[in-house]
Amino acid sequence: MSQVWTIALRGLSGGLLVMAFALIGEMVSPKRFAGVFAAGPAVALAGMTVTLLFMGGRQVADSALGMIVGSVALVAYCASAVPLVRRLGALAGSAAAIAVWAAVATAGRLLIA
Amino acid sequence: MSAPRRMRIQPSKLRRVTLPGMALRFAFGAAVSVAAGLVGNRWGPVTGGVFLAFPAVLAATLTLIQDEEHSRIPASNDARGAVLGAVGMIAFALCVWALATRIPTFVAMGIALVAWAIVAAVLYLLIWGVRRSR
Repeated sequence: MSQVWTIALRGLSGGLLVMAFALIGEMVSPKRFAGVFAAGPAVALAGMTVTLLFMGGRQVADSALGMIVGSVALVAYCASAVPLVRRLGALAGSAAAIAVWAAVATAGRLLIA
Repeated sequence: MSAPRRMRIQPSKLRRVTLPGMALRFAFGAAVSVAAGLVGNRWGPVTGGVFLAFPAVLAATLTLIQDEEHSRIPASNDARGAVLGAVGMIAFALCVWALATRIPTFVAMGIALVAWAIVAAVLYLLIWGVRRSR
């Protein structure tokens, strides 16, 4: 299968799994518990499944190593988003928190290089 | 501080789901997945893997919640819960990393998903369950 189709399959499966996690999040309450599903591994499951199908388990393990770093950065993102969203609103607050994610993810990636 | 409410599953709440909201989440999920794939192709699977935990979908969700609820508080509460999901993501990634080459990879991913759910649920019950019982 060409690389274009593989990328398209990643996009389709990622979008569908994110929607599935979002629907579960919509069904549960309170809002704090619903938030757990907003940080669910939807994109990871989709990406790793496509990687497994076309590249094999070794590549999945390598991407999981990177994901450990990304997930630590995600914890930093969420922790900083709580006060930032309250102070700046959702759009500006989450944008500022993405800068925190990028900083932690970059430092972590350099650490495991 | 108000007492936390009990965890509930209410399928009837799906009636509140809007098509534009779901389309936006699909678009962000697809975009992050494609970006992670492209980064992986260019700089290798480890760097691509970092983007499997990129928070674009969460940012979109927080913005949607604020628009729907007309308040910053529910979005902030959602982010609080997301911290626990994110800690669960570390457990997910650790499981896949440790098991993917030792057992069938699909099984490793299944175990990792269960680990994510258990870690997030246990943390939720420990943090807000304990506060509720006080």
